[in-house]
Amino acid sequence: MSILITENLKKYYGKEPNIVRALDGVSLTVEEGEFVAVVGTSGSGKSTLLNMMGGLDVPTEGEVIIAGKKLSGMNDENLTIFRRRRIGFVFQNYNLVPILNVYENIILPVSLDGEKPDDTYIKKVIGLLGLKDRLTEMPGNLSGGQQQRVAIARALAAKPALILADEPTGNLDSKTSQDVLGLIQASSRQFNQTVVMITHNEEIAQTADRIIRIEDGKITESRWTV
Amino acid sequence: MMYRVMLILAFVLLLAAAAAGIWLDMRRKYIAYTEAVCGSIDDLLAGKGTAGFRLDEDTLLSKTQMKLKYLNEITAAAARESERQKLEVQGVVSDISHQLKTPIANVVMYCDTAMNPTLSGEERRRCMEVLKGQVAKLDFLVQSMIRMSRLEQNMITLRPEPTDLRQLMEDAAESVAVSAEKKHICTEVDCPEDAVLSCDEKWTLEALFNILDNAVKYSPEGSRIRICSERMEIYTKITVEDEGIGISPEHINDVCRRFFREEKAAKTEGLGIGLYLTREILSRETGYLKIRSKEGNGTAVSVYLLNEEPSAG
Repeated sequence: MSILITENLKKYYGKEPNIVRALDGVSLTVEEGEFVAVVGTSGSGKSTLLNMMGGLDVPTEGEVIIAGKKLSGMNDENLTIFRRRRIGFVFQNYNLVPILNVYENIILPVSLDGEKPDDTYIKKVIGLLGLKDRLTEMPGNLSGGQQQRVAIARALAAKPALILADEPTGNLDSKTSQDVLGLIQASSRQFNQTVVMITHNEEIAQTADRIIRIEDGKITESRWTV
Repeated sequence: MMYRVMLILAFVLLLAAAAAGIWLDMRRKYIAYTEAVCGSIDDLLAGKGTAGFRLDEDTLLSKTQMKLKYLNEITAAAARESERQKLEVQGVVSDISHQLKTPIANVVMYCDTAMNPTLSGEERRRCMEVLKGQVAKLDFLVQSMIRMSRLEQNMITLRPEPTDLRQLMEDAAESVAVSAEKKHICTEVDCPEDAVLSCDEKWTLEALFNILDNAVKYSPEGSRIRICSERMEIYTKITVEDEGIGISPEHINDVCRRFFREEKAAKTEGLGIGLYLTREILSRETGYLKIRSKEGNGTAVSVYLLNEEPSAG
């Protein structure tokens, strides 16, 4: 099943003749379990695209469908719940809650929903991400790479339909980036998790199953690496 | 009394008329609904798509059309997938037959020659040598394909176990020592610190061998190949650097695809299986692969393997 479909997505700012076309008719389909990298230079529209996919911004035209649900049909409250349950986010600056410890951060999206976390699954995630010994630490005491690993675990915790990662290694040094990147890929494989990752770095994109290139708000290339 | 009976009768009649009216109306709506659904299905069958569907309304028809749309999409996706697989199988078959053609033609030719009774002993010996080489090539081809298909069908499970990094790197270098020596290529192993990795030794060696084998094949005589390691918190990176022909930037993301070979590699023997297998093996032990290359200057292939006890760090 297609987890993510965007249909002729457009985002325009301003009016003619000074109109800015941040996105200009982007149609793409992402299948379940795929790990897709969206590459483009800054200003190419890739972050706008990610914001639309995550329901963080509203398109001028077009439709985003995640796991069969149209985002445009939802009101703010439903959209918030939908995001929490069905979309996992990994941001450049980790966005962990500083007053919660590592474990509490990881299960936050699940506990916000009033759900009980699936312990065996969470344990597997924590093991894969090498966080077993750090569960009681506070985010402030962790290195950037460790914080990002917590953020990845948090994104995986609710078993979302889709994980959106925006420059996940943007703030990390090269060594840590390679760790984090490997783990994003590994968790996508291990848990059959669909991941869309935005990056400007070609080399980082290489680890994905498919690379989508975006320039001036349009898809210019889409190719598989497998 | 009479008046009361008539009143009740009139009431019953009225009720019956109303019921009949409702029934007729329901029937009309039901028929209209069914016709609309049939129309929608006809649209899909005729390949007109879902353009005529009213998907945003809060009606039963709209709901049904939405479901039909999903059904249509799922069927279309399944059809596309099966078409893609069919093409892939065709491609694989034609690739394999292409690879088998030359050695088999050679075997047939040299067999005929060797059977010629007027041939001298020396000539026959030479024929046999060529035959041996060609059969070895066929054997290699078939072995690679068996390994590939076993991995693909998940017939093989990789068992990650504690593996010594230095030993792994040295064994990998050793596996291409003979072919490297033939081309006077110097291989250099640089492992700055001891480490224990979590990987399946036999298959990881195969993965590294494929990379090193490429490095030897696509490097000029007398060049150098460097194998070095770098330890990170979660992964250890093993990089194989050569001074070979390199990969052109537009194909850097294609080289791991099965049977993919760059045009300039046509004169070098090979199948286009090596890196594909390597990537498969690595992903089965939670590792990954990264390639950097400068065309004409050399290639660096990095293999990332999990450190044993990932939580210690």
